Amino acid sequence: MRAIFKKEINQYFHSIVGYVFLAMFALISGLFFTMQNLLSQNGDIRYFFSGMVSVLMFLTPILTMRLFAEEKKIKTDQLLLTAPVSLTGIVMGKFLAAMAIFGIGMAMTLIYPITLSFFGKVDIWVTVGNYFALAIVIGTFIAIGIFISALTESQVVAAVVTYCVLFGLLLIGNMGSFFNNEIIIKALDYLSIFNRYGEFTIGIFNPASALYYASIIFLFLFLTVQVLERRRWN
Amino acid sequence: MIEVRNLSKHYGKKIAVRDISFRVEEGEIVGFLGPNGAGKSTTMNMLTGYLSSTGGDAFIDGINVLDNPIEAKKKIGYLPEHPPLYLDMTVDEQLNFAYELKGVKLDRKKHLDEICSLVRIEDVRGRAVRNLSKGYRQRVGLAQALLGAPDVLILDEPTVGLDPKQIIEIRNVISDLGRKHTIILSSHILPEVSAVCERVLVINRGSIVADDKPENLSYSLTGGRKLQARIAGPQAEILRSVRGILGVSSCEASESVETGSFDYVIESDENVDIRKPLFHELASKGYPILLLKPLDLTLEDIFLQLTRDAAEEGGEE
Repeated sequence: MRAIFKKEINQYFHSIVGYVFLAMFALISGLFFTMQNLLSQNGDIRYFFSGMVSVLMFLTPILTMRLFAEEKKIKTDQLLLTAPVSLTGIVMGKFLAAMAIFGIGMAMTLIYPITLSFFGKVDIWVTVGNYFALAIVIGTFIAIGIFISALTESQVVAAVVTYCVLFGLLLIGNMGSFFNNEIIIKALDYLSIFNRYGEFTIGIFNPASALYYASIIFLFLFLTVQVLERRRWN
Repeated sequence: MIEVRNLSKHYGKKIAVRDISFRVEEGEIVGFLGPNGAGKSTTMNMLTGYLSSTGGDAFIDGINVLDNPIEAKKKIGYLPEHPPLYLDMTVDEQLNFAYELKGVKLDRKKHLDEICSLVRIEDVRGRAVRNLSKGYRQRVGLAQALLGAPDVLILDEPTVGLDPKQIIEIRNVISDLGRKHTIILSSHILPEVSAVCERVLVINRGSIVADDKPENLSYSLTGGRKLQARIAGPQAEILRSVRGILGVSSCEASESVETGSFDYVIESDENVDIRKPLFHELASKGYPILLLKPLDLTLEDIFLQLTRDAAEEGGEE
């Protein structure tokens, strides 16, 4: 797992992908901070975070599209799958590498709450809650992206499908108000990975929501392992 | 060292490998010979755990590849048909990654240096894989397979796409490796197998149609021994004399290559060496032998014959 993790990190920075992701991350988060906090002279860090999730949704596929699709295409999966490592180790290595790149981006944004703290009162727990929420939601995006990447040989297909799926999930979350049926509303609520995000951003740590996200991450990583396992049988 | 029992692989209704069994002892170099699509790569992919089997078992050093893949994979170095290399890495990065991936526990620098000098890639270690020629990529792939000094090497068409000089180099490397490792290599190029391998498994349409030493394969198919001779003198007279020699079962004249002489194909009974009687007979008659050589079937002939036989017997599909 460590070897895979290291390799993925190296590859992010060997190619342009890692830099593009981090540059976009810095640009967009900077833009949000400038608009929501600096220009509107607002000291509340929540305004900065509120828009980040839907933007990061569009950046995640950049990180995940290559992870399995490219291995299959250039047949390096033969090296990974014939090496003495478990499929779980391979999938985890890749997941953690993508998370680490995202983590670097997050670390860059630490400068915003620190800046704000000079000019006003920044609520530590709200800030921590927001970082945690962002990390766990992006974690689910990455897990979904990895799963989709494992289904195809084409990075482009992986990226486009991941966009569509994440965007679909965002829409589903907003559809609940169109229905009267209790069950449908409940089901849509479960399907939408965005709805539970809000609580964290105001500093409430709800273990049920944390578990919800953790289980989605687990589910998609598990499915990825199953896809790889299944491919051996075809 | 390697044992395969009733291994099969079906892709839907298509049968890629059909119930094959064989053993490879420690230190053997065994060649898989077969046309493209015969099931060589599929068999190798199953041995290395890349593909699962539909039925049967494969054991590497007594470890079942299906039950205990991680332990089995530790004993295997695998060079697939397309060397699995990351184009954006340098050779050193690639090898270091594979070293860590395989969890090798040797002195890293020394081990990598040894392998690189063995396959002669020292001078390209800093270069990106993307910029290497096919021959070098193949060698990097081989180096990668050798990492961790695995007991078993499985090489899928190791010389494909190389120029003749590189082919000879790779063959020599493989022959050297054969002293320390058990090797299975596949090829559809026939002389290659006979040059490197001590034993040949001929695979056709997913089944093993022959399993023997290259020279025995040739012998068992011809039945007896055939000689090609070029003899100066009148054809009819010579045919009569040769056919009169004890042990000669047939003698046919073929074409005339040199003026004043004809070429003959002389077949003898099994286990009879007719070369001396042939010499004395013709010398006493005053017909000089200009050329005499055994007419073994080439592997091409063997192969065509085996696969034709199989098609006639089976008559399926």
